[in-house]
Amino acid sequence: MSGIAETAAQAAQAREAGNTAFLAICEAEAKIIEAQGVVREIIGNGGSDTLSDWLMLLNQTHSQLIVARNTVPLANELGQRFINNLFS
Amino acid sequence: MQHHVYQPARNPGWKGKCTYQEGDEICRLLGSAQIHRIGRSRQGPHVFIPGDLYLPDGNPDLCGFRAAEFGFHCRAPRDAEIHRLARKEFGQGQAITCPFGPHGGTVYVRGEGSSTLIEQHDMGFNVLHPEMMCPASLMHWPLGDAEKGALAQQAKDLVQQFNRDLRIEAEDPAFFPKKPLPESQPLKHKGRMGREPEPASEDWALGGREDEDVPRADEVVTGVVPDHVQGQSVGRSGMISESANTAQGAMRRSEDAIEALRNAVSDLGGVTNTVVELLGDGGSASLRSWLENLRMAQDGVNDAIRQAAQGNEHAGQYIRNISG
Repeated sequence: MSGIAETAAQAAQAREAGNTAFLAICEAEAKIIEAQGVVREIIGNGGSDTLSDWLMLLNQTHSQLIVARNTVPLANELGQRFINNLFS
Repeated sequence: MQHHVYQPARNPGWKGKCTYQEGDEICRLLGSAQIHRIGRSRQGPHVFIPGDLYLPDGNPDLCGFRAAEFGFHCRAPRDAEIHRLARKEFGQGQAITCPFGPHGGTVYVRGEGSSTLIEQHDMGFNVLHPEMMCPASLMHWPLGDAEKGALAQQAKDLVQQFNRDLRIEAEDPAFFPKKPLPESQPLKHKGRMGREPEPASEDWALGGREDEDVPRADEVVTGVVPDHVQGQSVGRSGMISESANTAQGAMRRSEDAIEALRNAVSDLGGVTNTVVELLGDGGSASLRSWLENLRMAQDGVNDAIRQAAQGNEHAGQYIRNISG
């Protein structure tokens, strides 16, 4: 395998792992959204400081996941661009 | 005095009295996205806005950065990703969150005295609903003097209202009773649970009072389950158990999320190592950008894991509290 082909294969494998990471982040986000819904429901039936703190942390987790979820595809795209450039 | 009654859209069964009055400038300015400050927690004053968001104030773990022009203090954690994003975008930039909109309406500022507001969706945040957006992000960009003035006025109103409420609370004996209730003693309070304190003249025997229905150690007691267990009715106990189960369900989802995120971090770590290897001593600009974004994503996921784990600690505390 030539040097360029080997680099491209390595990069493609890395990009594939990036896709897997993206799916895992989406899965985590779905779970966090579910947890937020349940906690909001419990708060609706009578809240407490502990519950509010929990919800706040879930909201923050969700915000950070949104950032990560938006960043990973961008990284993957840059990886793809790198691979394309190898052959251009 | 006419107060709003706050009724969250997502939890219609729950109501809270807004401390702002009908016609207050703050309500007029915010329109449908009204702010309702309804109480205080151990973290300090908090507000609820449509969408059931909770914005703590005065938390030492939060950044606390203050934008001079707007008077808002940053409510994001010190190590939050948004600070890094803001720095990346604006060099010395700092991030603050204003008290409007989803997630507290994230607003990015360049620095003390020369603040700059950025639409939050420009930074990659999803916007939930137009009416729930930060009013700042609904305004024209860049902000004119009138818009800056309106934001500054909102902040001023908030501070004034907060101080006014604090004075009202301090003067209200229901909040801070200045004198003890007549003949009040901790063990005689009408809200106390358990048996009455013994009269001074009563004789005591080992194992409890003689007239009390306490079985002796060698006595076998048979019969149906009592309708009260340890001072709480079985019905209430059932409700508590249901709440605990529901909370445990949410906690399990959060634990599953953490597990998935750990896998994501592991995958991203592998990708990062490969890209570092490909980068070698120099590398192309696209490789460097790829690496930078990967590291940013890793940091974000690690932050999320940390926050979710902290949330689970609160969840555990809540479950322990209600389970007695």
